[in-house]
Amino acid sequence: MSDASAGMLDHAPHFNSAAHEKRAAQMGMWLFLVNEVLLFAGLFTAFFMYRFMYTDTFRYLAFVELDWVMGTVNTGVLLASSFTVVLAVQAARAHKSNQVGLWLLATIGFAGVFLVIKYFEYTHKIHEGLLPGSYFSYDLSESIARVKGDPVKMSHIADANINLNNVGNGAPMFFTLYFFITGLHGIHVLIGMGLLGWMAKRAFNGEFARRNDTPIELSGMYWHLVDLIWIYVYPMLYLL
Amino acid sequence: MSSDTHKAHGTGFYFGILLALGVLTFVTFWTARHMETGVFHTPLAVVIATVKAFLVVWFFMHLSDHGNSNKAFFLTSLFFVALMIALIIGDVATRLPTANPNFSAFKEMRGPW
Repeated sequence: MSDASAGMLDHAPHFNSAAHEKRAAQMGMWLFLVNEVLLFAGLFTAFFMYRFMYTDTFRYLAFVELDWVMGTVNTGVLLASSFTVVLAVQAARAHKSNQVGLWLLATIGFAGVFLVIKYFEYTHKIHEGLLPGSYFSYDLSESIARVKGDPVKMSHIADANINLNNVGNGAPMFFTLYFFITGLHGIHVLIGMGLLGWMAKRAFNGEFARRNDTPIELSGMYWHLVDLIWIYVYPMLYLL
Repeated sequence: MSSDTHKAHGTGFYFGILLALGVLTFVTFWTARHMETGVFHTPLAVVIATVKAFLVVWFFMHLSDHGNSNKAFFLTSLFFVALMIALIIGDVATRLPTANPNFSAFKEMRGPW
């Protein structure tokens, strides 16, 4: 339906106006994102429960076997990617379609860096046998012996009140949760890259020069959710 | 009727939010790894993460101008997430120590049962 009056936008016939249609689309997206939050919340709950049961093991593995540098760099990369998405949305609101495409490409670039770092983390863990359930083949006692021979690490362990005598039980469970949480998050990163890639293609075709910023805004919201989940995953897995 | 109801924030404003998120990431790291925070160790990290999440949701995702029903959806989901985690941790924390699979560690933590 093309409207004769100036300034009016096209909208589907069952909406009063384009603004009405946009609000409906936003609401649908928020409902979807709320579902996503609850999906991850189940895994977070499981993590906190097992962490409570095997506190020393979980904390030891977070301190010694996870690489906080990689985790922190990935946090920065995702925050930066969220920022470039915001700039894409801003460009869409200004109807600068090419700029939208460029900012989305920058975002996809950051997402790629995130996945490359994740790849190095995963290959290291698979190589060491730091794996879920019965696939766990890592020699924890050897790791503890190594830590005991390293005064710097021992002082960290002592500062953190980790009791090395209790480290052992629950180690495979830590990696079940580690791979489930980061894996599900990684799948979201991949989906987000696909989505933003599709949007970038549409942007370079000039679609967003015609006063329609809703698709960019909604896919941007999806990407922010990926960042949002990581904001919790980072301290949970890497720091605490 | 216009769809441009957004509050106008400039690029500088969003960059400020990004910087704040970076600073808070550093604070998370520092308080978790280099400070004695005792029982507040985990709650503090969750609180800082929630402040960061608020910045992302409110400004980056523009929830601030997405209407009250959307705000209500999001807050409701957070409420139920908090309820789920609190009740389940509460359950595990108040079980008889022998019901815990890692009983030996618990015995040491809590004294002679």
